[in-house]
Amino acid sequence: MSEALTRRKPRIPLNHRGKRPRFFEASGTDELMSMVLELTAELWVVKKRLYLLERVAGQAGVPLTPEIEAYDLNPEEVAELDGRRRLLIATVLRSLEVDHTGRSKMREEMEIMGAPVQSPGPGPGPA
Amino acid sequence: MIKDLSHDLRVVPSRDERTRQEFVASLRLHILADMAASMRARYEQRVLPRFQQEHGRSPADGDEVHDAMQDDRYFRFYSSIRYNAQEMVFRSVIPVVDRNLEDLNNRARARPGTAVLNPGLTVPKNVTNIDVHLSPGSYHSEYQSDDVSPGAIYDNSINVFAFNQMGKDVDDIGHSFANYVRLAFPDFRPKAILDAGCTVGHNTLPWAHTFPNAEVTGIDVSAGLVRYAAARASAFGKPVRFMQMNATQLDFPDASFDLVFSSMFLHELPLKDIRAFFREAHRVLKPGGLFLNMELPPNNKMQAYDRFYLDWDSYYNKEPWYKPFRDQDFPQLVAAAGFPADKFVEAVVPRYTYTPEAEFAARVASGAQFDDRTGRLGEEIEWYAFGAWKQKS
Repeated sequence: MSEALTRRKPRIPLNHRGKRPRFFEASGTDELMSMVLELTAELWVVKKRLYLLERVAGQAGVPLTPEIEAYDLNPEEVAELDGRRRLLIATVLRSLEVDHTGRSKMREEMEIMGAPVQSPGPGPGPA
Repeated sequence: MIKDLSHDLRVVPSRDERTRQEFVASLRLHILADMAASMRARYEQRVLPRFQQEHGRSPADGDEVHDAMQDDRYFRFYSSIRYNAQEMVFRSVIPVVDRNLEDLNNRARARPGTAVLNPGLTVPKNVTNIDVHLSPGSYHSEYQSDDVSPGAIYDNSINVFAFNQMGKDVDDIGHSFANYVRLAFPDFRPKAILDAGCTVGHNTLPWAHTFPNAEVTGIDVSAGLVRYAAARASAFGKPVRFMQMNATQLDFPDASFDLVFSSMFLHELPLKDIRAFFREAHRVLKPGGLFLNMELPPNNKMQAYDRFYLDWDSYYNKEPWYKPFRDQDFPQLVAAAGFPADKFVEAVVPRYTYTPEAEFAARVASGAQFDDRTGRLGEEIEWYAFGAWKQKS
């Protein structure tokens, strides 16, 4: 994965020190709860972005839905999406990473997930 | 739903980061309103009757309710989701602060306000040894020289944490108690005011707003918070001084202040430090001055279930001193510092920001009344404070 994932070194730790409590007896349930919640957060991020995208495109007179169906991804775009998909998975599964000191990579990934997305071409940005 | 901070030290998230913050805020509201109501119903319908059957009585305190709730599936999901949401508050904010760190520190340097730092001060262990309320780096960690990031993390996190229920600039506590003092004690007009453990000064500036002729000082042990608080006050155009100082050992002469205030501070302190701060507050107050601490309400004023509910933070949220503090007898704690026993002051007020003036004034006049809204962050929270008047000479 590309330079996009290493271009920025985080300075502030994202994880608190200390052991996380266990609320459930069944092994893995606590981690699953974190996964579900992170997944839901990311799903909401995507849903809101799609909502905006459709409206912005519609305002700009772009009939988005048929164009999406017809779009061919180039190799760079495929690589970029591969990276983003891995970031999503790393976030959803973060609670399995029990080493609270050595998680800077995960932290870095989170940060990049939140970075503003470069527009692939000219056009009006969201308000 | 989450707005940018309204001052010049704001850091602006990307749209996805903001969407993530909004999700966390909505999740917290769901937990603290909807899930909290379901959990209470669950307790009343299932857990309490079972306890009564087994013991022939109701739970006597919060610990007994906590023990009885341990096996309840809903309580476990509530706790798990609430714990995760707390982590997610910070995860939704830290990357934004980190990305803007240089720019933020430059902006703070450009308008430093009045910050008096003490590089020789040892930050106490209750701050350094744990990441308080699961905040990575606690209140004090710095990552650059003259760093304000502890303040930025706190300011932005509480903006998400409070889901718009704690005032326009997360300053409702300050406004509520400054106006409480104005309305409850019309003959008392403080000229020198100290806010101890003030963090970023959210609740310090309202005193300067309500009492514009007063000299207002905020203190905190964290240099990063003090720098940020001073720059934030400067951005708001408020002439408030911030100093790096430990409340248990104040560098002020005796009889320096008319009012010593704190908010959401005592529950972060070991009991011996609370006692030391109270003695110092008594020393630096002028005769006839007022000591007032906004805090979570004491356990002895709450029903067993409400004690358990508020003590969740002590059990699970890295707030180890929260319950030991709330278990104290507050009048005794204040009297032990030298305040006259008959000068104890206690108040429960609605949020000033969201309450019409006349209604707020009527509540101030009617005295402290405790119920399940007292101190419980939700859509109807009411704030609690206690303290005392220092003996007039």
